[in-house]
Amino acid sequence: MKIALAGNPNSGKTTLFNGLTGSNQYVGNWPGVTVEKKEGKLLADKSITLTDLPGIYSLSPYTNEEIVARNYLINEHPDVIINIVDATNLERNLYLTTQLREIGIPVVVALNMMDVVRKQGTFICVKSLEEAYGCPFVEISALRSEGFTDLLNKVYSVKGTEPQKRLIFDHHIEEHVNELENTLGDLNYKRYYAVRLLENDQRLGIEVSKETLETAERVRKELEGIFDDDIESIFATERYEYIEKSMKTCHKCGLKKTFNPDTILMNKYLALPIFAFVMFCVYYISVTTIGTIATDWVNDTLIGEIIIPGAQNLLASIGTSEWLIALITDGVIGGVGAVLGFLPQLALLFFLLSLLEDSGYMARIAFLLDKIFRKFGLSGKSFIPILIGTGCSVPGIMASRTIESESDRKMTVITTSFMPCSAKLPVIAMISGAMFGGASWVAPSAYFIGIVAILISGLVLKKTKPFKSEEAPFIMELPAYHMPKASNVFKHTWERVRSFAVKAGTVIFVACIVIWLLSNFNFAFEMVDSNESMLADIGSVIAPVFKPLGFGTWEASVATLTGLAAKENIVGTFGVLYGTAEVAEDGMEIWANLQQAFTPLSAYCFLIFNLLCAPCIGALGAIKREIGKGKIAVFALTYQTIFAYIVTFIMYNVGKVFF
Amino acid sequence: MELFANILVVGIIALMMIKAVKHIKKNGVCEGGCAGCPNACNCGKKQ
Repeated sequence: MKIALAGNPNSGKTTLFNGLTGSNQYVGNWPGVTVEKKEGKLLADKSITLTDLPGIYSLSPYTNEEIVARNYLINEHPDVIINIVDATNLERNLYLTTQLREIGIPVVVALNMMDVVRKQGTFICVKSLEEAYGCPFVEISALRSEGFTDLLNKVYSVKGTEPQKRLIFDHHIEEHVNELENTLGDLNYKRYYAVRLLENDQRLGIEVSKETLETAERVRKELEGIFDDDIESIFATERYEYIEKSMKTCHKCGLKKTFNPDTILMNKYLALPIFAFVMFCVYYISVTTIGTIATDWVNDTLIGEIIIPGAQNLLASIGTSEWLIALITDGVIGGVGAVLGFLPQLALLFFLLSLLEDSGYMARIAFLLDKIFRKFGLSGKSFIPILIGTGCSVPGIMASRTIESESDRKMTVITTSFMPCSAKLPVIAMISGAMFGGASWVAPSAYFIGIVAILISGLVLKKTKPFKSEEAPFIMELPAYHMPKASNVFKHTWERVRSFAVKAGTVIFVACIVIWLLSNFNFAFEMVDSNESMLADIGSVIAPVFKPLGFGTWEASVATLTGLAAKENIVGTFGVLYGTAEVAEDGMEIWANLQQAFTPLSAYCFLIFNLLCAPCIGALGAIKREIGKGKIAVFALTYQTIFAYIVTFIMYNVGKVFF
Repeated sequence: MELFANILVVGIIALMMIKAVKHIKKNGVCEGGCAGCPNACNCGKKQ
C-alpha cells in the first residue's frame, strides 16, 4: 500500500512523516524544507510506504515542488492521499484539498495544529467539513504526536473506496467539465485532466486527441464569456467561494487575543539590531564562553592529560618503537584530537541555532533580509539555503531548489558556501583561540564577512549574462512562533554532531596519518625533520602563491590544500604539523607554534581565504549536481577561489598599513 | 617483543584505515547528514 502526504508548505508534513515512520528527516519551522519527495515505511505497518511530498499551494505546474508533487500523484498512483492541513489557516489550505479531491484518489484530511486551534478558542466542526468535501477529516497535532491512530484508521477505511463526488463549481462549469471528461475515453483521473485542460495547463504530461483539445478550447472560450474573466481566475474564484461557503458552517474564529512577538522582533527599526544581537549572543555563548570552557577541558585535560599520556604509556609498555608511538600520538591523536576538541563548541552552536530555527524566528529573518538582499540582486529566499548552509553547505545548496528564478537559484548555489559551515567553525575557533586570545569578535566577524561576500557576489554576478533576470517577487508564509520541541532540537543537534564525529573518525583520520607520514619522511623514505620532508617539498612549491596573502609558509599552503577534502582537515593538519596536542599536554593551551608561524593579521587572512575559497569536495559535488552544467560548476569553483584571493589580498595589504 | 608490538599496532592502524577508506568510498567525503536527503532511511550514505 502506498500513501502520499501532501499539503501546503510549513503545514507540518515532515513532522507527521517523522512521527508515522520514526524517521529523522530535517524539520524546519519555515516553508520549503522538503524540496524532493521522501519515502519511509510506516512504523505501525512496514508494508506500507509513506511518501512525503514537497509543500505546495496548488497543483499548478509553476514551481519545481508542484511538478514533483503532482507527477508523483498522477504517475505513481498512491492508494490514499493524506492531505495535511494547517487548521490555524484553514481557508487557504483547503484550496489544495479541492484540487486533490479532483484526482479521484481517496483523500483523508489531517487537521494539524489542533492544539493551537483549541488554545486560540477557535471552533472547527469536523462533521460539516466532511460533509462539504466528501472525505474524512481527522484532528491531529503532529508536533505532539496526537491523533495518529485515528488518522491511520481512516486511511485504512478509505483505501479502495470510490471517493464521494461534490459539486465545487457553478453548474455551467460542472456541465462543461463533464462534457470534456466524456471526450477523454478510458483515461485515469479524467476529472483532474478535464479541469487542468480547461485551465489551459501546458505541462499536462499526456497525449490527448485533437477532438479533446478543440472541445477544451471551445468550452474555455464559452466559460470566459459567461463569467467575463480569464479561465484561471474563474476556477480560483469558484474554489475560494466554495471554501468560504463551507467555512461559514464549520468554523468560528477564536476571540482570545494573544501577544504577537513580531510587534517587537520585526519592528521596522529594531528588527536588524535585535537579529545582530541574537546572533552575537549565540556565537558568544557557543564559541567564546561556555563552549570554550568545554573545549579547553577536552583539549587540555581529556586529550592532553589523559588520552595522550595513556596511549604513550600503553604503547611503551608493550615495547612499540618510538616512531610508531609518535605516529599514534602526534599523527592520529594530535590530528583527530585537534578536530574533535572543538566538538563541544559545535554542539552548543548547533543546539542554539536549532532553538532559533524551531521557534520560527529564523524564517522571519528571510523577510528581514529580503530588502537588503534585493538591493544586491538576490532575494530573501536565498537566506534559507544560506541558513541551512551554516550547518553543512551540501543540504544548503540543495535547499536552493525552492527558488523559482533560475538565475537567482544558480547565484544562491554558487554563494551559499561563502557562509561558514560547521566544518569551518573549528578553523575559526583555532585562529580565534591561538592568535586572538579567544576574542569574541572573531567568530561573528567571519559570519559577517560571509554575508558581505554573498552580497558583493550578488551584485557582481547579476551584471553578467547568465545571471541577469527580472526581479522575482518573494512570497513566503510566516510560520507561527511556537515553543521549540525538545525532541526536534536534540535530533537536529545530534544529527550534526554525529556527522562531525564520523567525519573526524574517517576522512580526518586517514588524512592525519597520510600527513604525518608525508611530514616525517623524505622522498628517499628516510625519517627526517618535517622541514626536509616530502610535505615540506610539496608545500614549498605552492607556498609562493599564498605569499601575497600573508601566509606563504609550506605548512599553511598544505593545510589549505588538505582543506579541500574537508575543511576540518586544516585543523587536523596543523594538529599534526605544529603538534598542538603536545603543547596542550603541559596543561596550557598556548598554541606557541602557531603563534610563531603567523602574525594576527596573516592568521586572520588565512582564515578568511579558507572560508571563502573553493569549498570541500562534497560541496563542490553538490554545486555540480544542482547547477547541472559542468561549465558553470567550473565557473563557480574558479569564481570562489579568485574572489577569496582578491578579498584576502586587499585585506592583507590594507591591514599591513594599519597593523 | 618490539617487532611483535609494532606489527600489532601497525595491523590495528591498517585495519582502521581500511575501514575508514571503505566508509569514505561508500559514503563520499561529504557527511552532510540526512538533512535534505530524498530517502528517509537515515543511512547517512552519499546521495
